[in-house]
Parts: sequence; C-alpha cells; structure tokens
Amino acid sequence: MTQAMTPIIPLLVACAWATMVLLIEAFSSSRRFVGVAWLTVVGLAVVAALSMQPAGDGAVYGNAIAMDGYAAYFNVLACVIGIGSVLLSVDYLHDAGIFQGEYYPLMFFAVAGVVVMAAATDLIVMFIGLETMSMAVYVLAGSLKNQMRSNEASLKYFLLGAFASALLLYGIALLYVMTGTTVLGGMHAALTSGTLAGSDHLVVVLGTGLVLIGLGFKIAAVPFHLWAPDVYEGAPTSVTAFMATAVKAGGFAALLRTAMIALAPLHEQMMPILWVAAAVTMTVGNLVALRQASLKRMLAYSSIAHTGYLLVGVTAGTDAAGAAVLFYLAGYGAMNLVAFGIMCAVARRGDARESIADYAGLGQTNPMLALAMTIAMLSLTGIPPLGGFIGKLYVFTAALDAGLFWLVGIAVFNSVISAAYYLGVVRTMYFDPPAGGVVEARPYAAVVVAAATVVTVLLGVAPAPVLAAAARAFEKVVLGA
Amino acid sequence: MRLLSLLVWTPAIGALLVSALPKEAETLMRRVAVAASLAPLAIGFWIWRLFDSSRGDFQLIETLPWLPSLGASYRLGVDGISLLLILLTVVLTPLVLISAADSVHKRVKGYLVSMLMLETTMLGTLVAIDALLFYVFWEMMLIPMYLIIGVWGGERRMYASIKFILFTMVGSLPMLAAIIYLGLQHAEASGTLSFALTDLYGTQMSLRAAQLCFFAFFLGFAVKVPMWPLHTWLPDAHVEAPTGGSVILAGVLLKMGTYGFLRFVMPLFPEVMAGAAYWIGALAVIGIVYGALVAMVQPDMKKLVAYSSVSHLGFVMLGLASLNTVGVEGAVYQMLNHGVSTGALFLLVGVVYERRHTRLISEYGGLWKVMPVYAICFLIVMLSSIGLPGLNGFVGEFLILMGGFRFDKVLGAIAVSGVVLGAAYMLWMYQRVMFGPVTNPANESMPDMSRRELGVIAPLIALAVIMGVYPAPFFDMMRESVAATLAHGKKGPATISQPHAATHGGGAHGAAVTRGGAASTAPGDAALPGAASPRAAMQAGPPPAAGRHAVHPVPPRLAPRPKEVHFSSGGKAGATDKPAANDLSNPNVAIEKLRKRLADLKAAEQQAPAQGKAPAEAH
Repeated sequence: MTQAMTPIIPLLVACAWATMVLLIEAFSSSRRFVGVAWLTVVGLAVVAALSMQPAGDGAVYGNAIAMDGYAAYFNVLACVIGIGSVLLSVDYLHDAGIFQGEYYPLMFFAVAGVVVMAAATDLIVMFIGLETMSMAVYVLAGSLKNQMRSNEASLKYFLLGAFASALLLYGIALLYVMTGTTVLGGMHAALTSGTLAGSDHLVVVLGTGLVLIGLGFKIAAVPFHLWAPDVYEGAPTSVTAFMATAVKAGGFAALLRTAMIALAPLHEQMMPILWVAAAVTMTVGNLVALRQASLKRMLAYSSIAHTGYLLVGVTAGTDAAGAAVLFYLAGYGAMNLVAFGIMCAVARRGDARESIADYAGLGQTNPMLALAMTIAMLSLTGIPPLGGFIGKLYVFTAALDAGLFWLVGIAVFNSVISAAYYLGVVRTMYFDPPAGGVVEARPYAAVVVAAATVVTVLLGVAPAPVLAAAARAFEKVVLGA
Repeated sequence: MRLLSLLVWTPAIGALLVSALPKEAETLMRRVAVAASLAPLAIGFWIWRLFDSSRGDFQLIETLPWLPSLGASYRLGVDGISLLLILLTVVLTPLVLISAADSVHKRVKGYLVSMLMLETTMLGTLVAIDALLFYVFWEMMLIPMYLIIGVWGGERRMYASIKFILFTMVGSLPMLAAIIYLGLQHAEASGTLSFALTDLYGTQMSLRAAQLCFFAFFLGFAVKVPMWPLHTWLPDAHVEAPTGGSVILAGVLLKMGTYGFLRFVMPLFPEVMAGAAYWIGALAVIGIVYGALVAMVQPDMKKLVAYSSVSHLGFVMLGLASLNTVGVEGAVYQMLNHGVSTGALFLLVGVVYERRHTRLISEYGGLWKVMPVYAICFLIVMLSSIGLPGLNGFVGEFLILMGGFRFDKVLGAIAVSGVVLGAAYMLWMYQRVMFGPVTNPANESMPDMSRRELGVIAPLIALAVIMGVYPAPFFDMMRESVAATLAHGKKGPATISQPHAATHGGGAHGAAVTRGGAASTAPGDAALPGAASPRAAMQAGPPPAAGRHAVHPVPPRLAPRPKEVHFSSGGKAGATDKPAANDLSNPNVAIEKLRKRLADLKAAEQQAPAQGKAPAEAH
C-alpha cells in the first residue's frame, strides 16, 4: 500500500498542506496573513520539488492517475505560477481590503486541482481535478465581497462553469457508453481496434466534441469565452493573474492528454473543429482587444487570443506541437505574471489603476516598472528575443510541419493585429505625459515582477532547458491500460 | 577573438553603462554614449583590416548553439556587402550621438540608450548569417526606432510611430513563416533542421512554394526599402522623427530592406527573382519618378528629403533588379551613397530647425548671406545627392543606369528622368532657401554653424568626396560577394560559374579600378585612408593582366550554355548596339566587354569632376 502511494505523494502533500494552512489561519489572530502567505509559498515549493522527479512509468489506482513526466511538467508550472500569484496577493489584498484568510488555502487547492487534471488518466478523475480547481477559483473570483462586479464575476463564472461541467460530463458518459471505459488508455485501445460501427463512431465523435466544449470553456476558447472578460475584470487582479495562467495551463493539461493523445485516432475528425476554433479564437480575441480602454479587460481578450495560438499547436497534433504548447504555456505564464503583477504592484485602495490611461508616463515616474511592462507587452506580441517569440516560433514551426499553412497564415496576421494594442500600452507609458507623481511598486509584487521578467527574457535567450523539459514530458505520456 | 560579437554588443554594453548613470549627469552620459559608439567604429575598421576581399563567402564566422532542437544557432559572419554597410553604420551612429547634444534636450538618457540599442540591433542584423537570428535582430530593430520616433518626435509622432511599426510587422511576420518553411524544406531534403544561410541556399522546393516564400520575403523587405506603393509610412516617420532618428532611419534602416534582397531574396529564389525582376524593376522606376515628382511639391524640407529617399531607393532597387554585375554593384554603392548624402541632408535640415523650429521652405530665403558656411556645406551635400560627377552619388547612379539599360531599355530611359527631376527639386529648394534677399526678419540674426555642427557634417562631406573620386576600395570589398550572390542564380555546372567569378575578380574590373585610381590621384588623395592604396596597388598588379587574357580563352561556349534568365535580357540589349554577335552568344564575354567600356567611361568621368567641381565650390 505504501508503495502504491509513492507516485501521488506530491498530490497528497498538496492537499494536506492546504488543509493545514486553512486550519492554522482559522486559529491565528493576525489580520494581514503574511505568515499564511509564506506558509502557502513554502508548501507550493515543496510540492514542486517533490514533482521534479516523475515517479514511475505506470498509472496507479486502477489506472486513474499517473505522475509521469507530463504531469511533472505541469505540476512544477502550476506550483511556480501559484507561488507568484500568492506573492502578488500579499499587498494587493491589503490594498483592496480583502481580509479573508481562506484566500491562500483556496489558491493552494486550485493548484492541487491543476495537479490532478495534469495527472489524470481517467476522465472521471480528470473531472474531479477540474471541479476542485474550479470551485476554488469561483470563490476566489468573488473575494471582493463588497464589490458588485466581483460578485457578478463569481456568479457568472460559477453558472457558466457549471453548465460547461455538465456538457463535459455528458461527453464523458457518451464516450463511456461506446468504449466501455473511462480510462484514457482503454479508450485509445477501443478506438484503434476498429471495432466501432459507423453510428457508434458518430457517438464517439459527439462525446469527444462535448469534452472539447467543456475544456474549451476553461481555456476560454471562442465561442465559450464570453465569461472571460467580465470575470477577469471583476475578480481581484491577483486572482485574474492566477486564472489567466494556472487555470489555463490546467485546461490545456487535460485537453492535451485527452484530445491530443488519448483520442488521437479521432484527430482526423476533430481537426476541422479545432482548426476553426483556433482561427476564430485568436481573431476574435485580438480584434476585440483592440478597442479596450481597461488594461485588465484588454489582457483578458489577449488571453483569449493566446488560447487561439495554443490551439494551433493542438490542431497540429504532433509530439513536437505538444512540446511547443507546453513551452508556450510556460512563457505565457511568465509574461502574464509580469503584466498582472505590475497592475497588482501599483494598485491602491480607491485607485485600482486598471485602465490603460492610468499608466501614462510610467516611463518617467517608474522606469523599471515601465521596462518590465514593455518586455511583457513585446513578449506577448511575439517580438524576439523574448519567451513569447520562442513559444510562437515553435508552435508555428510544428504547425507548418504538419501542413497547416493557412492556419499559420491567420496566426501570423493576428500577431500583427495584436501588435497594435500591445504597443499601445508601451506608447501610453512612454509617449504620454505622466498623470500623477512617482508611482511606487509594492515590494512583494515588485519581486514577482522582477523574477517573471527575468524568466521571460531567459526563455527567449536561453530556452533550451525548458524546451528539453517540454520535449521530455511528451516523450512518454502514460494513458493507463 | 569573437570580433563580430564584440562589434555587435559593445553599443549594448554602452547602453547599460549609460542607463546606470544618475539622471543629472547629462554631459557624462553623452560622453559615455559617444565613446560607446566609437568603439564599434574602431572594431569595424579592425574587421576591415582582417577581411579578405578576394573571397566572396562569409568570413570571421562565429557559432554558438541557441535553439538546438530547431537547429538555429547564434551564427555571425561578414561578407563584402555586409561589411560596407557595417562601416556605414558605425560611422553614422557616433555622428548622430554627437549631434544629439544640439537636438535632444528632454529625456536624454532614454534617447542615448535607445540609439545605442538601435546600433546593436542594426549591426546584429548585418552580421547574422542564421535566418532566425537575422529575424530576431530585424524585429528587435523596430523597438528602439519606435521609441525614438514616439518619444522625441514631432506633433504627429503617435500616428507616425505606430504606422512605422505596423507596416514593418505586416511585412516581416510572413517572412518569419517563410523562414520556418525554408528550414523545414531543408530538413526534408537533408535530414537535419538548420537555419544557417549557407545551408538554406540551394534548398529545393516546388515552384509554387518558392513563389509564395519569395512573396513573403519580398513583402518584408519591400516595406522596409520602401518600394512604391508601400512607402507611405516613410514620409510620416521622417517628418516626425527627431533629426538623429531620421539620419539613422534613412542612412541605415532603409538599407536593411535592400540588404535583405541581396542576402535572402536573390540567392534563395534565383529563378523566381529572375522571373519577377522586370516587375520589381518597374515598381522601382515608378518609385524613382513618383518620389521625385512628389518631392518637387513639398513645402517642408524634411518631407522633401524623405520623398527623395523614395526616389533614391528606387534607383537601388532598379540596380538590384537588373541582376547583372554592374547594376548590383552600383546598387550596393548607391546604398552607401544614400546613407552618406541623405544622412548629411537630414543633419543639415536639423541645423536650421534647431534655430527656427520650422522646416518650411517658405520660412527661409537668403540664408547664403546669413550662414555662408552652412550654405556651402548644404551645396556640396545636395550636389552629392543629385549625383554630380566627382561626388559619390554619381558613381552609384551611373552604374545603376548602366545596369538598368542593359536590363531593359525602357525602364532605364524612364529612370534617367529621375536623375533630371532629382536635380530639379533639389536645386529649386536650394534656390528658395539660400538665394535671394532675406525676406523673413527672423532669419537675419541666425548664427552660422557651430564647431560641433561642422564637425558632424565634415566627415560625411569628406566621405562624399572620397567616394566620388576614389571608389576603388569600396568596389574591391564588394566585388567577390556580389559575384557570389549572383552566382546563386546559375543552375549550370560549377565549371561555368567558377571561371566567370574569377574573370570578374581579377580581370577587367581590376584594370578599371587601377585606371580609375590613377586618374583620381591628381585631385586630392592626401585624405585617402592609407590602407586603401596598397590594396588597390595589389589589385593592379599581375592578376589583371593574367585575368584579362583569361577572359577570351575561357569562352564557355564549349560547355553547355547555362540557363541564366538574368543574362538573357542583358544579351538582348547588348546585341542591338553591338555588332560582334559571335561574342555575345556567350553572356559572360558580353558582360566583360560592357564592363570594360564602363570602366573607360568611368575613368573619363572621374577626371571630369575634378575640373567640374572646383568652379562649383568657388561659386
């Protein structure tokens, strides 16, 4: 029994630690929760360290979960993003007037949910991970209790999320009916064996489509993106940062293992859907982002656009494309932490500084923050030599290799559109006269911004280690027998 | 010794140093920045010394792994063409940084840092010989320029800067896709993924794929050049940019487009290029005439110079499209000329702008009396831009027209009108600004050029004269590289292209150089760089004689005639004015003949300016 538990030790530690943090918080008298935050950070670091080494090659617990290299990559990614988001929250919560101690444990649980999603080899387990993550984030999005739009964000996210979960479950049920199993490996075998009759096949495709819709909701793919701008805008910025990066990574973790690997035999049928979804998602995201005056909302649409670029990799469906998507998620996480981190760093009570105009003249009032924001915006645009460029480069290369010329063409065209609004932020910061006096950055957030900026640059200049890790993750993905 | 890396990254280190200085220490900042840009100047000349101009391949190669899984690496190297542009860059940047003391007074630190970063990216673009690395520098180049226009620019800087960057990105992102595709094609053929230029040259692909890739590259570079009708960002960017930004934009950035044609489009897609050459030439000629006509009616001096750039870059593109050695060499030379002359023109417009804060021609008049030194400097620079024999512009334009005529007579004939129009709009502007009575009282007490302003212009004027009377060292440097670039178009057996290159190298052209050099020793070679003379002497030594004799025995009529599309039109044009048809059956010999005639003409022309220039200056 103990031996069987070794593979899931990171997961157990995550859940136990989060519970412990919750209890400690409940019995402490401090009002600023800095200690709780640090406890969470240490816990996430421990989980990341434990996940570094993939534990075993097989799936455990009746083929339900596998801590393979693929899961390890996402575990580390989610924990690192979690650490960043927690540190961003410390000052931001105080400034925003949020005094709920359960905030940090909830974030920890959300990370645990991502870990389960990445490791699940059974669709039911994957669903549990998805719900664990989502429940925590629904609450987090509403943690600005006295603000209407935060409440609205939470409720909207919850209702639409519940709807998507239902579709996902329905899809899983259809797949189970036709293949007789919820284990990914079993499904893969059933689909490749060719025992399915014509009409059965249709049901399988329908089920897969519903699973894609459920996950497409989590990653904010068009047309299931409508919640994203409102929720991103209404939620506390530190939570938005987490949603845009870790939640999206979780969604892709489940999507890649399910759709790209386990249901690979259906790739032919799924390809047109994914193709259109990718093209529409990036185009809609970029076009709407052009007209945003709020930085937070603009970043929400930008996050939709990036889902589109990532879907280009999923559409390609090769191992190289999968590795490219994994790398892209890391680069995307780093640059978004920079952008949202700066918003957290300059936010003050009564002055959230969420519109682009609030950043006018930042180049003069705080040159370092302006430089970091510039790097984030250039990286999001895909200007070399930054992390975002290398991510796009690899995704586009893999897609061209798979023959997706037109899709890459659309993606390239979208990159040009995106330059207009990302550079608009740079323009406001440097070309416009300052709106107020010197803008001080909050210390915790400043550290996160600095670290994430360095990571963004390093991922562009020396991406080889992370690229190698991403490729290794895809080398041997366990599906369970 | 990683000399090229040193060259590329010293300005960046200078930028770091400048940004570490306190905000108050402005004078120190400016000095550090100038020093940081003088270092690449020294390194550039050092590279020139080490450079072996008898080879047409990449030299001083450096390699470091960068993206091992894609086969892209940090790979640097220079050939004659890039070395010339490197020298232009390292000469112009210090001048711009020195002149910033007069023209930039707000947010000085940011300006100096941007300018130094711009130099790093420009030099990086020129030395990168890995397609992806090239793209990296190419895109990075946009950001400092965007900031320079946007922060230190004029009233409509927002519009101009975003237009500049969007136009360029629309062009360059399809290029990225094409680069990736080329790499994948190469991988399919050879089994290994690589983006090294030397690997990509000669990649086999279907005609349709080659056409699409060609178009992607063409778009990227044509926007940058800019070719008509993609030029509309240029006047806006120039008018709004600060003086230094305009100088670098016109002097170096635009050359990146034409450099891209030489480095990528011509060697990578020789067949498609040969097919499209006529249309490119036609667009270039439209650009020449259109730019000149629009320049004529501009009320704003800077806009006038900006449109003259469209016209001049049209000449460069015509030279490249001609696909013959004369035209392409002329185009490369004209790239340098344009950098020197137009850079100087922008600096000079900046001089009066600093005094009056207007660039409208109608605001001036009679400056000759108020600012005589300025008027003389302006005169020389303007004449060099027009292409007066004896100054640099003439050599380039003449060779381009030579190549253009051989390429297509009609295009050549229309292009000549551009020269006439160029003289017209420049002289007319000069007349309105400099001559007549001082009509505007505000101009009466304008001080003449300061020592610093004079010091910035003087090197450019000196270069314009040197390049006009003694172009030999520059042609020495580029000759083999141009031959190598054109050699990619040859599909025939290697034995054909080899002697062809050899005859170009040491043959008739070498003789022409010697004669040109000898003719020019009279007017003023005291200012010539010492290194250049022995170089020319070496060229003048035994190889020419041997080479010239070799031209005739070689006729590769014995060998199967190579299918060179780019020579066919040259042969056609030559056949009409030259009766010796038997010689012309071999395009190489035909070219040698024309080359010799050109050399004679050039030598004759170079003597003329020596006499023609003196009265002009004394005027």
